Amino acid sequence: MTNLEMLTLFGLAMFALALAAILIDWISRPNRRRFVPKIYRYPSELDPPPDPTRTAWSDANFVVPDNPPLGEPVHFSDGTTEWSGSAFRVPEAPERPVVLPVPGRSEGWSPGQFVFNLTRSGGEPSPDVVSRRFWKNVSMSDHRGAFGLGNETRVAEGKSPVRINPRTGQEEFMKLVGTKFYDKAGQPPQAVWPGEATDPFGSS
Amino acid sequence: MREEAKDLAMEIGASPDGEAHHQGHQVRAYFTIQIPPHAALEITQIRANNARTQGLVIASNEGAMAINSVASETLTLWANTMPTTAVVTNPSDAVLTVDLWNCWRYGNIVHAWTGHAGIVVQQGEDRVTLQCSDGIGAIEFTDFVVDLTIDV
Repeated sequence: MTNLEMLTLFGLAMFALALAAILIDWISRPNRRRFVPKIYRYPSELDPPPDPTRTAWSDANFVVPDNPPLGEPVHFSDGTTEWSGSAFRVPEAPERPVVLPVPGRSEGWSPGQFVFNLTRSGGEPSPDVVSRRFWKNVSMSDHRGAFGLGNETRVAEGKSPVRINPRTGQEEFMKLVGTKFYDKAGQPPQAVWPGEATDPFGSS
Repeated sequence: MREEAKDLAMEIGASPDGEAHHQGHQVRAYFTIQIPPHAALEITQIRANNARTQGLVIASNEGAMAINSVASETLTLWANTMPTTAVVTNPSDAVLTVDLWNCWRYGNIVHAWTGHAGIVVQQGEDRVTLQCSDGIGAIEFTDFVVDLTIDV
């Protein structure tokens, strides 16, 4: 057997092995998707699917890779999308909220801690939960008396302060702006009374 | 069971006539004044407690007013940025009724009508003086004091 014959035989064997691997991968997948190497898949296609409240990079510094632009997407009737200039087609994945890992958000919360701490089960706290935490924290601060005597108990219970608007005779509740962590990049919520006014001489 | 303590703003809010009484003074939550057509309301700052930024909210009941080239139905003048005398004009052909009350900034929050907040109104010959107690700490009607005059 000559060297050329041996090389040809080796190449054929490698090709057969690659075909077998692709076939096994295709058979093992129930949805019979087209084979796409993992390095070309989007995060939403990777197994297991990411927890919507966390990312696969929870413990790592998140770095956005400096990829070249893919060009304009072309949508096909079979639900797939292809980017001009790319060599592959990928199924349209449902849009998922991207939650970036942020250091300093521990799981669980007790009075005095960061209001955006994750819940004990590791989930994102709801705006209501953030609001309760916020007011309980206020009740432990020097500002607890800033809302009047009648509000000290409410604030300690995690309820928003209330006042009577003397012009209308109606009760008004204080509102919190930014009760979702990513509303203001982790900045604490801002408490405001209803009503807006213009400052003609600039902000104080 | 201990009776819940009431502050001045709560007393005013619970009063049917919108007033409370403190050491012989009638105390109210806001003051209403009318500005004739094309006339001006001059607001002169007399005294302000610098421990917190004091402000005066001016809210029209039925139309916009103008000040410093700004037209709005609700304005806030802050003691640390307003001139000594600010002039609010009524640009319309009708009488403009405006309400004025004290606000203050504490802990980066703008407050009004809470705690021991209230206004004692002194009526002079040609002016009205608003003596305001803000809602922080004890009742002090010297937290923000302004004079109001109508310039027809």
